[in-house]
Amino acid sequence: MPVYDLTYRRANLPRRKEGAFAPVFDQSLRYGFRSRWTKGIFIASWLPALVYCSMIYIRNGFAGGGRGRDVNAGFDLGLDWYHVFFQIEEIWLLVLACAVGAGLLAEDRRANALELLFARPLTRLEYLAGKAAALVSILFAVTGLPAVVVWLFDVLVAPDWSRLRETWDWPIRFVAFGLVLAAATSLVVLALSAVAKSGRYAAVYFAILFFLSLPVSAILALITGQRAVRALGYQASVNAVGKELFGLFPRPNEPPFAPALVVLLGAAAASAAVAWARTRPSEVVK
Amino acid sequence: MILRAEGLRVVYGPIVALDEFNLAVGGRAAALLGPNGAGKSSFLRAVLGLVPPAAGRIEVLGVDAGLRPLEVRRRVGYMPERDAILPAANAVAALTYLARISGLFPPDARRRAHEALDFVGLAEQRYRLLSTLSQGTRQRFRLAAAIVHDPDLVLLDEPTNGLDPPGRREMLVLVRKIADLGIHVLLCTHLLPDVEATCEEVVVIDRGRVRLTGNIEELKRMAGTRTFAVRVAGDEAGFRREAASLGLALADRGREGIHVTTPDGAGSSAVFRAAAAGGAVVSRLTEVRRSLEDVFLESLRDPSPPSSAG
Repeated sequence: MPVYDLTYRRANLPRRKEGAFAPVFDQSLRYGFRSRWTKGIFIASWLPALVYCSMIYIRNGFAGGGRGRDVNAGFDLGLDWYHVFFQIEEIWLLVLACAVGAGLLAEDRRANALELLFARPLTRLEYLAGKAAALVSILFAVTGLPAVVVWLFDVLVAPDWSRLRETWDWPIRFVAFGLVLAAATSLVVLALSAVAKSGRYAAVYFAILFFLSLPVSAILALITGQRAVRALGYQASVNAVGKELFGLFPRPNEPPFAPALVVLLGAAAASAAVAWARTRPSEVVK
Repeated sequence: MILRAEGLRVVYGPIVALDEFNLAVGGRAAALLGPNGAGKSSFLRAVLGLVPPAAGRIEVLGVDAGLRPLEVRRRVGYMPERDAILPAANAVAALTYLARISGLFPPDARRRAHEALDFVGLAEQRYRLLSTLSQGTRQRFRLAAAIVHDPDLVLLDEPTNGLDPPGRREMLVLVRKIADLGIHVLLCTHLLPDVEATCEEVVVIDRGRVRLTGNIEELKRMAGTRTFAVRVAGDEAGFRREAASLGLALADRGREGIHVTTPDGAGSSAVFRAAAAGGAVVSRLTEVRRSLEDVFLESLRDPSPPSSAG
């Protein structure tokens, strides 16, 4: 008798009752970290968090820190610093969104994988939700999560608990902004991935949107004289929402919160509709 | 009944792919036979719920495909005609993923993936990226994907398409093995030898309608015209003259003699009558069995309503 029989035969195996969201989510995460490059980019995206932690440590240890002293004597690590931190992470967000998200739908469509997948008990909603959830998780892990870790480090190395008392609500703001960034970016990238012929094209489209929408919206704002038009810039609108969540005032050249939120919600809804329409089970891409 | 369709109508915009499509398949291995564009793939997609029917209903393994498509897909395996792989995944990872989507738990899915790959002969290539596999190997992968979750019925859409002769033969052996394992097989093809090598039942479709359905052997023996290879001694010219007057069709077949085709219900007695009347003696008479190709071509020519046998 063989130690392990690999002969194919009928087997009445137990079946999962719930839907197929989990396998799609799992597989999309694996796809995201399929190469050393994406793993390297992910690790590199945590470097700003390391730098921030070092700054906090140095401030507390050498620049006037210690029990009973004013830790902010060197510099005040306030919410505006964290907002800058998010702006730095937005570059990594762009890189990871292109490296991971751009191919999520485009490569499946290109390889005719949809015909294999949707011949199984998988709904379009489960498929798209699994893909989106995986991308949101990865992008949140380079935006909201490092910010929370930096804050945690800040609280842990603080000389007393006053830092925790003063800043207890910050992680909620970080998580909220991280989710806004990750969700908005994920939906836009997935929509571009659904319309592009390959992941590379989708990455190029997103990079163009990321870099060109800001100057174009600035020019349009100059022409129209309307500050709200600046919300058409992708980075400008997400940062405006971030400033509102952080309780910071927008600069004169930044869009107000309300139009920025409308633009983000509109972009998210339109992206979701595009991704839905382009993920047809019966479509065969030649 | 494994598969039943009643009054099925599938349309793609202005194009009608299936119309008044009625079908009942109950055997272990059946073939959906039809020329290109007959509606075979459309029917498979309708079975899986990938294309919503405009009218009619489909029942698969006793489950209404329109009402419970996910239940149908859980119990059915599908091998698409066109090249379809999962990007950036090796064969084991891809099959494990597909088995998990079909509802298997991860350890079971992984084990079944290995078993299915062994079954189709891809044991050596299991850790290779799918995108690097050859056409024939990808075809085997798609067959493995169709059976990895232990389905009760597999739908194979042109499984031998693009394969070289040895590859084609091996694929047909695998299809037969699947049927022998107790999995119902519905083979969609336009290749008659594939059908004869693997199936017991056949459904001939053309232009979106079922033309003929039944057991292959019974269809070949079905009542209707019969053909005999005949040799006569004596007055052959007289035999030919009398045979023509009795409505028999004659065709010279060299060393085989004369092929005499009798009309419906006439049988071999008409041949003997013609010989006696023409002053000849039948020295040899053997029935020429109809091939599936004959049945297929006759059913495509026949404008009458669909018939069935078996």
